[in-house]
Amino acid sequence: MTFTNGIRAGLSIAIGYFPIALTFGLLAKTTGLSMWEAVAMSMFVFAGAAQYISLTLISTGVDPILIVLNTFVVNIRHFLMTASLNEKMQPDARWKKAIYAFGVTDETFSVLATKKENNIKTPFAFGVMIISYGSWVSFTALGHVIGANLPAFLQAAMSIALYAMFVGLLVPSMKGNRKVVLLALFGAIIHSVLYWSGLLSTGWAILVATLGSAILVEILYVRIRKGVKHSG
Amino acid sequence: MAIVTYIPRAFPLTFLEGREIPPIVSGVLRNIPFAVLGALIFPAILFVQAGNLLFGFIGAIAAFALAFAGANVIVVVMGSIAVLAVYSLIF
Repeated sequence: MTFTNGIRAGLSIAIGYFPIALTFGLLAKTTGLSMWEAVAMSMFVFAGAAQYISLTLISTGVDPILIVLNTFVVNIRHFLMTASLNEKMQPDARWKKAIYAFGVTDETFSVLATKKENNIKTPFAFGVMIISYGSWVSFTALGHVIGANLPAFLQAAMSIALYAMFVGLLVPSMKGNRKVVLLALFGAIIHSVLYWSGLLSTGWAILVATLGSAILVEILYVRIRKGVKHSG
Repeated sequence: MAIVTYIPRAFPLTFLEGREIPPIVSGVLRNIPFAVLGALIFPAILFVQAGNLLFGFIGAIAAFALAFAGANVIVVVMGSIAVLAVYSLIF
């Protein structure tokens, strides 16, 4: 699990970020952000959903404090992801972890957390993150420079990329593992219900769906294990 | 924006380093990746093209079919893009 392996594992993220970052650069331009402002946002924030939402808020002239608060809520799910990732990663110096923590996104997390091996090496994580980050920042710039979208059919087709990647990461773990199937299913159902009922905003909805599913299934399995012990 | 994005990423990774976690909590944490993938995929995969649920549905079918057939992640990604590109060129 070297740095180079990490780069290779991150390639599908880099592909998936391409249309999103390109569109972000373009939208940032039409919102009135300069090239430097758009690229700086991608460089320092590196969070797709939060950046998109902030563009909408900037264009409607919302108070900057609200933009910051909203960003926090949108990213609150990363508390769960990094707490979970901490269980998978090799123990390492805090300063190294503080550096690669910056590179944790939904996508880099998914690639790292679905690895079969435990004790993922730090250089591997850096590889996954650096190629993703490179794609995100450079295609933001490109989008701002060319100021145009991909051909419509390609733009539409490529919008599936990151979801297809999530599916590609999830399915191999689902095979022959009922617990994984249940976890994904409950996560999907709870999030869908929250989405369609409009009860919670996206940031909270993903957090609640994830935590809800993870706790529910864990309780279920602890009970099954106890049941097996009693009957045995 | 940078700071409030960084805190949720960095706090657990640095704070939890080297700490003992109760087994039930660590069990829940190990469940998170699969629960979050389910929540990230649904329902958002259906909305990749605004106002056209069928488009996302076809993409989802393509992705799951390729993944269940055993294709690796890059092939799932490129294959789903190809299916939808062909679909939008035809319709």
